[in-house]
Amino acid sequence: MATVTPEEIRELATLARLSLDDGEVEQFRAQLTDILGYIGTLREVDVSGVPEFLSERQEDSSLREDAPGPQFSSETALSSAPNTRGRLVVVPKFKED
Amino acid sequence: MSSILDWTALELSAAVRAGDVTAADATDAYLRRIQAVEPKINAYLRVAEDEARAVAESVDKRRQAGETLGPLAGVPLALKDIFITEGIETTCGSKILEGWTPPYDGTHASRLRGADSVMLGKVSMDEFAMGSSNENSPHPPVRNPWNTDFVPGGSSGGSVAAVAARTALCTLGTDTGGSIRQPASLCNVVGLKPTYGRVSRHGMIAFASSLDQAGPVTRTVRDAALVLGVIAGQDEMDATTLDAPVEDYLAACDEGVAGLRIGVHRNAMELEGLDEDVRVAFTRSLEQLEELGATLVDVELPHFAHAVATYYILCTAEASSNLARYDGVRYGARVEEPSLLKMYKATREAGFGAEVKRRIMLGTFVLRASSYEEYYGRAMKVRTLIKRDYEAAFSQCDLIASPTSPVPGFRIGERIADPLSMYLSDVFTIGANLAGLPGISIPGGFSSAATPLPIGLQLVGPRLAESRLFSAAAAYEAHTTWHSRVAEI
Amino acid sequence: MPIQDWKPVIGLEIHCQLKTKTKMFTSCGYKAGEDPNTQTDAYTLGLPGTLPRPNQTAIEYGLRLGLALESELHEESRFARKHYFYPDLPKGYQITQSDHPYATGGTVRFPDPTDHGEALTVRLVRIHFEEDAGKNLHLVGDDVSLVDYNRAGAPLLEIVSEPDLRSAAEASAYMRELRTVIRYLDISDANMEEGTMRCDANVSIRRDDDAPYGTRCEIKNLNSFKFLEQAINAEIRRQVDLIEGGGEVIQSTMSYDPGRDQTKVMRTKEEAADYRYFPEPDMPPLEISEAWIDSVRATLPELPHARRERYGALGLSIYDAGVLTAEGALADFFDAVLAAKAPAKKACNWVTVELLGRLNGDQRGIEDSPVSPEHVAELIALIDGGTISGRSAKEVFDKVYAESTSPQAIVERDGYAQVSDAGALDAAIDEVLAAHPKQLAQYAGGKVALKGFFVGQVMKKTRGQANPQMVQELLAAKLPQVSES
Repeated sequence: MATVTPEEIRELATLARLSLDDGEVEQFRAQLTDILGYIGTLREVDVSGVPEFLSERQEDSSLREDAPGPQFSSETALSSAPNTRGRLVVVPKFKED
Repeated sequence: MSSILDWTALELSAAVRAGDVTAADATDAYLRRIQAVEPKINAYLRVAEDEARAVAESVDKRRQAGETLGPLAGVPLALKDIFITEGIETTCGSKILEGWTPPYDGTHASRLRGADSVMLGKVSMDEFAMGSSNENSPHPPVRNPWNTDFVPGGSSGGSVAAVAARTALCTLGTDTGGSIRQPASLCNVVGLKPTYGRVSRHGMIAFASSLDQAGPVTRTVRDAALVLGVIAGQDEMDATTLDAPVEDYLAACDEGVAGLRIGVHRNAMELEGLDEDVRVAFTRSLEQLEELGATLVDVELPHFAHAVATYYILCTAEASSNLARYDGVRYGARVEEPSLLKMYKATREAGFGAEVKRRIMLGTFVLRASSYEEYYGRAMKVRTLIKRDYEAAFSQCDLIASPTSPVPGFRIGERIADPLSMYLSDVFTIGANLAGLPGISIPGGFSSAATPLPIGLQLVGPRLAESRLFSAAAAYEAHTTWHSRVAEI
Repeated sequence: MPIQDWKPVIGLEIHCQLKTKTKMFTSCGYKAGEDPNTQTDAYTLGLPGTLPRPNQTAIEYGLRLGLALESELHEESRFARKHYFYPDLPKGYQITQSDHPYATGGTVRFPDPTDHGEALTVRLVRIHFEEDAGKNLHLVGDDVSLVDYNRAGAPLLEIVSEPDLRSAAEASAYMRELRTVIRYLDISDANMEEGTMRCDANVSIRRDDDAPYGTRCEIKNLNSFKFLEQAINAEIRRQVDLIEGGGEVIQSTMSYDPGRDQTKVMRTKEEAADYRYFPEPDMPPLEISEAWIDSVRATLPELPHARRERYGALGLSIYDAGVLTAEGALADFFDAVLAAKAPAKKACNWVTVELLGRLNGDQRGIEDSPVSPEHVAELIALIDGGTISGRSAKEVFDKVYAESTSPQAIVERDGYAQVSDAGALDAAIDEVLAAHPKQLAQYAGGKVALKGFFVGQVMKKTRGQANPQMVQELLAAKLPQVSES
């Protein structure tokens, strides 16, 4: 059965952009180990040759005509942003990678 | 003496159209009811009183002006807070969206308004629809109107509690793994999860996109048919909605259940943790269906035991993806930090509750390149097998009956520390989500407890067989009295 | 071993922004250069409850490119989500195509940049659809970064080549050819400076052409042909230095600093993001029917390599064919000159040297040419028919260019027609011979080079309008027979 280490929990948390304190790391470690043990029971199922369940086909692939629809004014676009300057959204300074 | 609160949506809308009662009076009656009982139930997150009164007045004016009103004329209803309502705060039961007022309207809100209903407000839910008890919420827990020490079920706990407490005549909920049907079962109301793609998902905040469906919560099967007729149908804003005609669901309610073959999955009745009262009630329900002319046939669902595991892989994976957009940049709450990474982490840490974080973590785990094949890829294949199981079963029967929930209910706080046991309360409902099938939960009995709790009967049909579900459910409802019991608050 | 003995192996990933009216998955319009955050809608901003709706015209543009490059077009393809957190990525994931792109394989044929000899061929891995991100702005001295979402959701095609390129010059030539094809198809402005065409380059080196590929590094965001070549050469130098110095290349993502002319490591493979791809549940599979493909195929223009072959068969050099086909409009112009019955080589010369020279000098495009294809053909006919001399032809062409008037009209108006009337020319020659008895005597004495002098005098007398060939012939008959000794 898969055991999850605290390091893995921290890695996952960073990948998911969550900051867990030590208590949460331990709690999630224990719970995820449990849950992974449970969902690991799927290994018992013979899935050889079985296709993945994917979204169904739709008439004309639900394609949309290339015609402009309603747009937001910049005021509306920015109305809910927590931090703005002029017409731009503000985030902490970061380096492009 | 019959009060306006006793009327079904079908009756009330007919009365409003006929001018026997005004939408304003109906709205007022419900607003007063909210004031009276809401402190004991906590179903509402927001009551939009002014907006509701304004809409009711305009509906009345249009009637006076001779206009023909829509099918939900004057019906006071509420929306789960997962539905986008332009100009009215929409939080999905999460701190991370606190204060967010959408600048657009979802398909559900606009179609319901177009049918001349009156929206009373937004009702409570498990955060991002993740939960079976309505306890995963930054808000006070919604209480079960039948026993306020008990949970109403979830995640559409507010939706069912409001209908059961008569603080809304009907509501919309959403169902990803049973989130309409399980709480409907726990609160003695009708809850329908339509076929995947029958109802638009545009304007419904995503939890697990391949499983989510919106559906009505009502007092009667006919009201569910009425509401579905309004919200169902192809929507150009949702590429997964089905191009299939919206049937006359109300007419289907008169078809009866005679001659239908009801499939029973006997193995499921051996399930560990299936409450004895639930077993008894279900057995009786089957007998009642037979009395109505249905025949019972045994069916097999060979992968039934793997459904919960499959579900939790898929729904957490999709949730981890769908919730990536809550980053404190464009909308919602934000915790300011000097670095971008810290801002993201602090914002999401503060904004999401424990269950949401747990699912994001699990979903992130199963989607990682190193575990994808073992978990996500495999679960997608088992999902195909589950869908095939249902297809095979429906070659032998017309509908499949089961209890909706393995237990009549549980106390607030009882299961919150044990997520896995909470996940197992979806055991009867998630099959329909995984296979994309319609399912309905209708009042089907009560427990033997001193304060009896409701027990739901679930019927699941083949793809797009909503009409057949309504036929059988309405026949059962007409033959029983469970649905007419009203919770005393 | 010296750097030139190392063999570079290069593959390009090219993004090209489609010029549709609306974005890839939403009906929000998009044009580059508008004020920030003025071209958004609920989907663009990643608002909760919004869903993607694929743009039919974007798909059709993708089919045009797939057909033009002879890719295999798949009857069913799928969209997928690629996850990473970045301020300019509104949903926390980008919708792209991963396991099931709409097009795989295909080839791009282009002239060898070194000797204009044999055409080179680059094989493609795949072409797929995706949506663009917004733009992060980092102003110097500012303590925050800023985000503009206008571009978010703009439709992109990503074209991934096999590592078939063997030099920076080849990479650049391949990219130019792809740009030409894309412009011929009219599906994108494909302008690197404006960002409607962008490139990442995968570079590795090996000791000889048969050796297995070395470890590759990917240089990101090359936004001009110049930087593309410079960056690849810088990366080759870096890898050679590394290996020659006893080190090894570690698979990395690189950035290019044009100021230092150096590439530097942004992150190594170990630090690479885990994008957690999975199939997009919000959209059905993309189905492309044979009928749709056929209807798109019927609208395809003749492609640059086919045109180059056709021009080659008309006797044009590979270089000239390349110049004429670099822009669809120029080749169209040339074809129109041919259609007006002009001989290919002469037409090519007038178009590529005389016309393009003037247009380039005025910074005008062929679309704005004041000279029509018919004008060019007419001018060539006037020369070939002996109506005007080669020398006056250029003056006539200047006037055609300046006035956008037909050459015939200018020749008539300004008297450029040559005198080909033997009688008139006889008279002129007689006068010239009579006027220069001294030179005539010298000629008779054996100084035959003076024939040129007489021709010049006749031309002068006729103000340049004499048909020089006729003057030569008539003069030869009138001059004394001199035996060359």
